Amino acid sequence: MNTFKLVNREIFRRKVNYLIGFAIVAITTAIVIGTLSLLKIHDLQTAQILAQKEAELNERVLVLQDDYRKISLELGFNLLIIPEGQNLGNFYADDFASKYMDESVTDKLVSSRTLTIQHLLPSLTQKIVWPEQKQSIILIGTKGEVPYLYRNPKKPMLQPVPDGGMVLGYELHRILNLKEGSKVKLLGREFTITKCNERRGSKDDATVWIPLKDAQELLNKEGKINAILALKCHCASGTLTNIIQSVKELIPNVQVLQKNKEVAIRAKARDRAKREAKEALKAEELSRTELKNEQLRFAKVLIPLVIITGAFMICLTFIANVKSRQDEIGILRTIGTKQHTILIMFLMKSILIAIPAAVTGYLIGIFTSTISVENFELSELFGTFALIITICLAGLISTAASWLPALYASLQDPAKIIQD
Amino acid sequence: MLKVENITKFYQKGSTKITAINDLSLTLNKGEFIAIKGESGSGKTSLLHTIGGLLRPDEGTILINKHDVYSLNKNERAAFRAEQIGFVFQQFHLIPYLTVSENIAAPLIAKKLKIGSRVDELIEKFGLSERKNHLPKELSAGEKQRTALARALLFNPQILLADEVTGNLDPGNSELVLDSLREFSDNGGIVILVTHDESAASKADKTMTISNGILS
Ligand SMILES: Nc1ncnc2c1ncn2[C@@H]1O[C@H](COP(=O)(O)OP(=O)(O)O)[C@@H](O)[C@H]1O
Ligand SMILES: [Mg+2]
Repeated sequence: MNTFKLVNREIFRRKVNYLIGFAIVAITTAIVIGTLSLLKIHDLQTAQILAQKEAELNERVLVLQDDYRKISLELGFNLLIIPEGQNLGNFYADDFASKYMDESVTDKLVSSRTLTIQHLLPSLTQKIVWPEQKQSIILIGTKGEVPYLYRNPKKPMLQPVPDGGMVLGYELHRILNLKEGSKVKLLGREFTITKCNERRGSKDDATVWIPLKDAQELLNKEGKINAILALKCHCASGTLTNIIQSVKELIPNVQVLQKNKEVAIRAKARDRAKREAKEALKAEELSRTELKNEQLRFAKVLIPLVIITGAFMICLTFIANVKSRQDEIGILRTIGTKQHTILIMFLMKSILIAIPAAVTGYLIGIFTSTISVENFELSELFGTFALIITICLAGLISTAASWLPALYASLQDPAKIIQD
Repeated sequence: MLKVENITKFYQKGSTKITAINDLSLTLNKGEFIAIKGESGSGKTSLLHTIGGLLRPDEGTILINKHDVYSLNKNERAAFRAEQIGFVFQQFHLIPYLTVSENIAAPLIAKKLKIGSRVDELIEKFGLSERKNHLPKELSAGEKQRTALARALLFNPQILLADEVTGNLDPGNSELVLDSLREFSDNGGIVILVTHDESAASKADKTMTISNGILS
C-alpha cells in the first residue's frame, strides 16, 4: 500500500465523488476551450473570407486591365493625324475629316527610322447609306502598318480587317441580323463578315470596317485617306509633344490631334472600380475585426467567470470529500501518517481528476465549437501544445482549488476525530 | 519500558476546565498486560491517546524506552507511532474503501518498511483468508475487529493500546481478541486495555481502576 494506491482505491470505489469533480473540470475546460476555439475559427474564417475577396478583387482588376488594354488597342489612338486645313468644328461634329490626303504620307511615317509609334492605321471614313441594306452607316476603310522600329519579321502585321473581310458594329449586326462568317454585299462588292463587335455605346456601333483598298475603290477615292491613327506611341506624357513634332516634320501638311479622352475615362473608371473594391475589402476587414473585438470582450468576461465557478465547485467538492473522510484521516494520522502525506493524498486526487477531465473537456470544446461551422477540420484546431497547456492549467487550478480543503484535512487533530 | 510520570490533561469546555487526567503515574515493563477499568468519562481514552503520542499532556512526561515522546516534533511523533504503537478501537476505524488485506497493509502509507509476507501471515492468523478481498461494510463486527488488530500488529509494535475493543463484539470474538492481546504480551509486548467491562479484564496481568483521571 502506498499513497498513490490509496488514492486510486478511493477513486475507484467511490466513483460518484470522482465523477462529480471530473464533470466540473471537463465542463469548465470545454467551455473555455470551446470559446477560444470559436475565436480562432472566427480568425480562420476572416482570413478565408478576405483571401477569397482579395482573389476576386485581383481577378476583377485583371479583367479591367485586360479590358483597358483591349480598349487602348481598339480605341486608344493616341494620335490622330488629319489633313491640314480640315475644319475642326466639322471634324468634331462628324467624327471624321471631310478633307483628304494622299495615302503616301503614311509611307513617310512607316519608313521613318526614328518614329516611336507601334502601329499606324491609315483610314478612309465616310458616312453613307448601305444601299443593299438601306441602312445609314459610317464606313471606315483601314489597314495596319508597322513603322520601321517595330517591325518584326516573325510577327504578322496587325491587320484591323483582313482582306475581303468586314467588321460590323454592334447595332448593325443586331439590326441587320448578320452573323460572323456570313457573306454580305456592300456597294456591289462581296465581303465576309469576320467579326461582329460587342456593344460599345458609341458611333462604333454604327460603323462598318473594311480593308482600306476596298473603301478607296468603292468610294472612288483611290490613293486617298482622311486620317491616320497612330497607336501605342511609346512615350511618357512629356515626350508626346516630341512625337507630334517629329510627325509634323515628316509630313508637314497635317494636323495632329491627341485622341485619348475615352481611354482616360476608361482608365479612370478602372481605377475607381479598383479603389472601390479595395475599400469594400477594407470595410469587410474592419467589420470582421469589430465582430472579433466584441467576441473578445465577451470571452474576457466569460472565461474568468467560468474558471472561477469551476474552481469554486471543485473546492466545494473537496470540502465534501474531506468532511466525509474525517474518520479515515483520523485513523491514518493515528497509525503514523504524516500531515503532508494527507495533503498530498488530496492534491493527488485533484490532479487525477484534472488531467483526464482536461483532455476530455479539451476534445469536447473543440468538437462542439466546430459542429455548427462548415469547412473546418478538427485537426486545424487541435494542437498538442495547447492540449498540454490546458492539462497543466487545469491541474494547477484544480490543485489550487482543492488546496484549502486538503490543508484543512491535514491539520485535523487525530485524537479529536477518533475519540470513541 | 513505558514510564508515565505525573501527567495531567485538561480540557476547556466553554468556561469550565475539565481535568481528564489528574497527576497520573504508571510504569509498565516488557510483556506486561494491564487492564484499566473505568466508567464512561473517567479519562480512559485521554490516557491512551496521551501514551500513544496523540495528545500532549499539560503536565508530566511519557517515556518509552527512556525517550520522551513529547520532545519529538509532530512528524517524528507520527513516525514513532507508526513503528512503536499499535492502536485498536471500539469503533474499528477501518478505511471503508480498502479491502481487508489493504486495510491491514495501510500502515505502509505512514512508513515504508520491509514486511515480506506479514500481511498474509496476519490474515491467516486472524482467520480472515476467506475475507481478505472484502470491504469493511461486508464484514461482521468480529471480522472488523480482527482486521483492525492485524493492522495494529503489522509492524510488530512495542506497545498495544486497546480502547474498549470488546465493546461491540460477541463473547466468541471478544475471547479471540483478548487471547491475541495476551499472546502479544507473552511475546514481550506491552498491552494497555481500557474498558468499562469487568470480564474483559480477566486476561490481564493486573487490573487498575480509573476515576476522574486518577488511577488506583
Ligand atoms: N476534546 C475534548 N474536549 C473537551 N472535553 C473532553 C474532550 N475529550 C474528552 N473530554 C472530557 O474529558 C473527560 C474524559 O474523557 P475520555 O478520556 O474520553 O473518557 P472515557 O474514554 O473514559 O470515556 C470527559 O469528561 C470528557 O467529556
Ligand atoms: Mg473512551
